[in-house]
Amino acid sequence: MAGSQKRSWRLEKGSWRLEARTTAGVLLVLTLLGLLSWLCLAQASKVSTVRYHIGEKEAERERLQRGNAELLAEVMERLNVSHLENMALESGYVPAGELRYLDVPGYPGGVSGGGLAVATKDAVVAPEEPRGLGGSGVARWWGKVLSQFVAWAGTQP
Amino acid sequence: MITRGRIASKSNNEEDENSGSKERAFRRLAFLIAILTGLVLVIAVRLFYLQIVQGFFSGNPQPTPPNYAPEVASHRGLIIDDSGYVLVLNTFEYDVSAAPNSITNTQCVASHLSPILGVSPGELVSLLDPEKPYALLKKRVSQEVAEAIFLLKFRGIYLEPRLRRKYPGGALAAHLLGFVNLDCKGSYGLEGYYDSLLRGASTIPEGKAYSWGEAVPVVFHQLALPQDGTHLVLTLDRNIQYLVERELAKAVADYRADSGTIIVMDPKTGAILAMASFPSYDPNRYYEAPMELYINPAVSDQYEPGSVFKIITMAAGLDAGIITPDSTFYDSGTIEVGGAVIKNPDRRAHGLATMTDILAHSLNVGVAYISTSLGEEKFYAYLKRFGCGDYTGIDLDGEVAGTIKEPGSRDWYKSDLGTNSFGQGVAVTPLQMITAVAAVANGGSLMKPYVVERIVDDRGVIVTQPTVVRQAVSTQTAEQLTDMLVEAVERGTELAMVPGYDVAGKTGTAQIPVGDYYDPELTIASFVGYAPADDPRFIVLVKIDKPRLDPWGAEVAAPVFRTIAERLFVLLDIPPDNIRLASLVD
Repeated sequence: MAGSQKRSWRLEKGSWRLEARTTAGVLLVLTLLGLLSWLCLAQASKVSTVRYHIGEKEAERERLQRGNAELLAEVMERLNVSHLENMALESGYVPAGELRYLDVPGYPGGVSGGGLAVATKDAVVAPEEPRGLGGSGVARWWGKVLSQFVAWAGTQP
Repeated sequence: MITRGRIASKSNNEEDENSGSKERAFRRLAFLIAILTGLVLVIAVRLFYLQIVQGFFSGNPQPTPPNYAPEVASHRGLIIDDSGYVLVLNTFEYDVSAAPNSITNTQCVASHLSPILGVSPGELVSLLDPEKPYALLKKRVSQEVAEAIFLLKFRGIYLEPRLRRKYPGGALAAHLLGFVNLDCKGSYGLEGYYDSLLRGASTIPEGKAYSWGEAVPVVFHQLALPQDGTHLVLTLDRNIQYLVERELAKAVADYRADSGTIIVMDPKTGAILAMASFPSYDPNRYYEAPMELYINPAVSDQYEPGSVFKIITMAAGLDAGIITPDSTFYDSGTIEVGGAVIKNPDRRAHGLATMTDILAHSLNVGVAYISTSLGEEKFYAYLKRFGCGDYTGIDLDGEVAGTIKEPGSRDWYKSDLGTNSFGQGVAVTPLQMITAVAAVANGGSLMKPYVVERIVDDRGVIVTQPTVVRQAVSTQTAEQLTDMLVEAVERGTELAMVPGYDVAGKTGTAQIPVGDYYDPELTIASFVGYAPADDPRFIVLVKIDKPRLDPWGAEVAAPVFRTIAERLFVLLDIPPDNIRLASLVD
């Protein structure tokens, strides 16, 4: 009887030891798995967050690029030649008439200097002297008076 | 004993119970393990099927999941003129859509969106039916409207960008540029020719998705960015283009013509500085214009050039050595070639005439004399050397080769040798004509015309090098002919002259074939000229179709050339000949 009890006690003790070892092992494995899962999830979460922010930034960049394109289109429309021409005409500019190329003595690019004459845009709007009168001093004076009169007449209402 | 016996019996029962409960626990555990193992096996089999069978053996290692192919569009390349002005760019319009089943306060959303979208709140509420998963609220709204909606930050409201090609210059260079249709495909002109380059490459991200189609946020392969289209920098100068278009429209209106074309080219390189045709259309609203207007007449329409073609015949005669500028012939007013009697345009006999007289008075009889003296073989060989009947190779969509009947073909008659010499019975495109004459201006070298000067992308810049197609005639011939053309302008086409500059050129008044005959009244008036004659910086071809007030090229097209040339001397900074030549002497 005593032997039976002793055997039973030993069996129980052995079973308990076995269960304790198994439980510890399972717990250890679970802990390790949990740790690994946590690390993995934490990493995935971090990557997801970063990716989300990247997506946001990409969308923002795309949005700004589209806004930029819209602004560029607006600028180009305002730089349209016909638009500029209309603005110039409204501002009082007139289409250029006959061009004159002036020889500027001493100018590095001038004929006297051995190079090309300068095409002065100022000459575009310079009033032309009356033909045949440019030679004499009196004629030049008369032409000047005449142009002054025309200018004065133009200012009168 | 009884007690002992009871105790022993109790102990045995406990043992039995313990072992029974352990067995049950073990069985339960075994059952659980079996289920878990079964589940793991199911997952393993499924994974094996997906990864190995479907993924590997199907040759598609990364199957694209359904509903997840968000194409990332590339940006179409810009088109920029010679001076940096952007002729074509991209803007965006937006489709406004919604996921009504994820909108909580429909009334509030509708009331906010209504004034922005210009749609009544009632209509929006009906569109935002909470049972629907998707609703398109409005198509193609502007960037401004989209921005306003974006700032509202409503959940369940989406903006889908749609590329829209924008042409800030409106109709400026429309024929040359072409347009992009609603399918985002380039059509006509540069948009058509360079479509694949301009378009770039869109990308479909190599991402992962859940089985229900939603993208997994952890995507490593999505970083492949779309490749934007290349930018094109043109030889075109928008100021010259504008000038040319304005003068062309004015000429067509002034002479009550049907249409017209003007091309400005750098004869030394073949670079196109301007190319305009009238009537034109606005590529921003191409769908409102008739389809006939989409075609670029400068490269796609062929016509009988008339007397302008005498330049080619004269060049052939000079180069072959059968005539010199001072050679004379007796003009009796008619010449018979292959049974056909050819007369001068003025129906007069000019008596003893030099070769320069032939050009100055545009004598058909004179050039027919040259072509017959050359003979069929040489004459047509020279036409080919000038590129007649062949593509110029310009980088524009829809170029045609022109038509030239050659000896031996069924539709060629002996009389064609005479009529072809003054541009009748032969068809060219305006571009072919100007390219051929540009060869004379360029010392006899025929250049390949081109529009794109540079192709720019992320990898670098490709610069177009001017290409010599062939030496059409000798340099000496070209110089002699240029002198003759200068004299011809001075003597016969005063309206094309620009004070201070030597202009070489030739008029053309071509009859228009209608069936087997020529229209008795309507003509094509043209002029081709280049300046400064000794060192050409530009060549201009003016072609006015069916001018009803005046049929003559010398009176319709020549003044247009003069107006354009006067402005070109300024825009290209070309001083008068005396100043320029004096500087060369110094």
